[in-house]
Amino acid sequence: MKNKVRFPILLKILLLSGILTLFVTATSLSVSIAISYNRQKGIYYNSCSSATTIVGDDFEELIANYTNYYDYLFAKYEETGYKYYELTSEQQDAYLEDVNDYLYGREGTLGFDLEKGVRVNIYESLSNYISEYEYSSISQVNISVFDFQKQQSLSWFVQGLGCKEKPSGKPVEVDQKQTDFFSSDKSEIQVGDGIQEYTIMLRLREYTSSAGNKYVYYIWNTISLEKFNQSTTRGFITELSICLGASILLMIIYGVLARFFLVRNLKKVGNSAQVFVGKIKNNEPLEVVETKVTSHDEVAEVYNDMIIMQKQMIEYVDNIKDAASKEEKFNAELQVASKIQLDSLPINTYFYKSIELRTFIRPSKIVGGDFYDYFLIDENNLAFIIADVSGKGVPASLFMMKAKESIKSTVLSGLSLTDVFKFVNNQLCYNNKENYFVTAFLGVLNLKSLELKTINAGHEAPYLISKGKIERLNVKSNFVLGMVENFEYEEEKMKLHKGDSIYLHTDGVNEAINEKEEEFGYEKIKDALATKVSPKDRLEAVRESVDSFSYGEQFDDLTMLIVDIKENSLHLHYDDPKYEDIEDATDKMSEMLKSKDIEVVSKLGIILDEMMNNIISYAKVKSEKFIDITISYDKEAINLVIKDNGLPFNPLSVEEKTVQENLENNVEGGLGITIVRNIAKEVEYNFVDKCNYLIVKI
Amino acid sequence: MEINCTNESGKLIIALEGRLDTVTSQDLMNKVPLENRKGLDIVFDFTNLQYISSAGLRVLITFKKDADATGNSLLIKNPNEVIKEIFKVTGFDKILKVE
Repeated sequence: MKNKVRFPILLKILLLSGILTLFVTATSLSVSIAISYNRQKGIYYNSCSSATTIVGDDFEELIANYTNYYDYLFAKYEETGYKYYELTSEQQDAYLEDVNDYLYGREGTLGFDLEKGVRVNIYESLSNYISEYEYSSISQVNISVFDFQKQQSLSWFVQGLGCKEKPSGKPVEVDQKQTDFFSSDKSEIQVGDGIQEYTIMLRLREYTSSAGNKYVYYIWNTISLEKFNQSTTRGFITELSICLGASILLMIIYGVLARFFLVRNLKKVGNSAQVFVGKIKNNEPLEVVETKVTSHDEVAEVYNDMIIMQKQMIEYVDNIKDAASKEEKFNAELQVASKIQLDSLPINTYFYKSIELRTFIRPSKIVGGDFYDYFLIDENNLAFIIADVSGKGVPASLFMMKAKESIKSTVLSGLSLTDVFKFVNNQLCYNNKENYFVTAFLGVLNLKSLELKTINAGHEAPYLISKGKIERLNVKSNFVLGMVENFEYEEEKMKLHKGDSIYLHTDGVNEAINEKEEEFGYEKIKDALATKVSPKDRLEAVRESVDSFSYGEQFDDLTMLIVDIKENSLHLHYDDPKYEDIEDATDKMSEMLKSKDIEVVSKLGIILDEMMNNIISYAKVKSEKFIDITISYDKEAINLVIKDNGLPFNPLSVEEKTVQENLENNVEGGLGITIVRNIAKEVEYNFVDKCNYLIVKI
Repeated sequence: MEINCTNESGKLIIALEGRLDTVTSQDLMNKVPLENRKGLDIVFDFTNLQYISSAGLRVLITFKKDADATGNSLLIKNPNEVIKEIFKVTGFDKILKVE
């Protein structure tokens, strides 16, 4: 619900500061009024009622000649030649009132022109003078100004000044300045510089003596500027302090009010925001943090907006979580798909008779388009395939699975390679609206004759490693699979020799890019292959070379396969093996390896003995136990592969213990494994097709 | 495996010929039980022994422990290179006295 801005903050501020100003002004004003009123009263009464004190020489004269002060005064002024006129008593009163108003009233100044003289607050001066000198006895007020330039004193009577009613009767004959002064409403008197002292004279009454002489009744006040300045300053300080005090007080009140009306609500809004953010940070379930803000101003607006924002944020966070979990789910499914896909490929290590086959695959995205495959067609023929599907991700991988299964089943059905690819191609063309295609290289090696049949569908040519030389084979390229129906693919034949290796790869290898956007190329493959001898090491060498060459994320899948033909191999099989079979095996092995170093042979013998022993003694089986042994060698190493159908047991996972510990604890087969570990160059373990495979290299 | 035991000046000399593996170790245990060797210093003649497996090593240890118990010694004489290698690899060369 929206709070309408009915009482805006600005208004509040103005209001409050207005109150402040008002307060201060009122304070100072009332103080001024109070003071002036008091003084005003005093002077009026004083000046009206008092009659008397004359200071100095005059006093003697007065005492001597006149019975009252008034006569004296009248006499004095007659001498100077001033004329006068008579005021009625009502006029006198009115006159007095006006003068009072004028002198001490609301305007408060009877001023001089600022440029030419000094502006004087008559009231101030009077009151101050009175307080200083106890002027209650002063009976005359005369405005006189001493002009130092002209060296003359200028006096005016205040008579008629500001009167509402001009006095009647004959006007006084005065000099021109005075006339101007009296006839105008101006209250300004032109004075010269250097005024140090001035007097104010107020003519109040006329008196005709019994002798017929006319007298004027005055009151005057002579004031020095110096005193005036002092007093005004004092007055000013007093008033200032009062105002200041009042202001401070008001500000405190203002602050409290502001806090109550403004800050409190702002804090509420802030609090709500803080609490909400805190919930987000601590991963707590999100809720809108409502609080009471009913101030009908912009703060309330902000509060409402914040509540809306919190609500939207909750929605957003929910959406994000939703999306994240969906993405997570999708990724998890991708992971599963990847696992299924990679699991569908045969294991990366394969020993069979005189063959060692190794593979390497590293998809660029979670699910890739490359694959390899190998399988026995029969006990003498091994098929191996490497392939690359156009595209990456889930669609490519699905196509890849289709291609892989198609090739395998077709090959196993016994068709010629030409027919295999023709058939597979047509299968892949069918219902291939997306126009995916696959490049593939298929080889079938006869283990007895070492004849290799190959057929290529647009794939990278393999490398032949033979007699220390590494060359890229010159095979026909034909066309890819899955694009053009009924394409005629040509197969080829070649003869391999013992000690040869065939290396296959996908274009992820040669097309790897460095930061200069150069390709890895074919030569570097050759170079890398040449650095090592064992098939496993060769693959690793190429991988390492590509990785150190590449720049950035792996763009394409990296897939390799190598088939290595050993110089010699021996295959032994024992069903329901007994300890006596160990001797048989070691004898046959020694026979096969008689050309080798006796130490090496003995070591192998020990290993064979230990491993067979362990299997015979400890391997648990569900059906009849068997042990399958393949021994093969080439110039580089002797390989011993022991296969058994016991429950999965990885001897390498047994904790490395010292011989002592082994003996003391009687660890099952532990001592044997320790020996094997120490003697062999390399030991590998796999569990494939429900069999334990232990591969030992010496 | 052939096992030849002879008694010579208070020592039991056991000459082995062939292989000392799982099966033959058992034979050895059977043929030379504790009562036959108790209180005697034992000398194993490995001149004609081609090979020893971990089972064989266990037997040797057993014999040694038994000998130690009665304060007797156990000596391996003339092992071939392969067996020496096995001793070295397994650390038995530190446990057994080899000549």
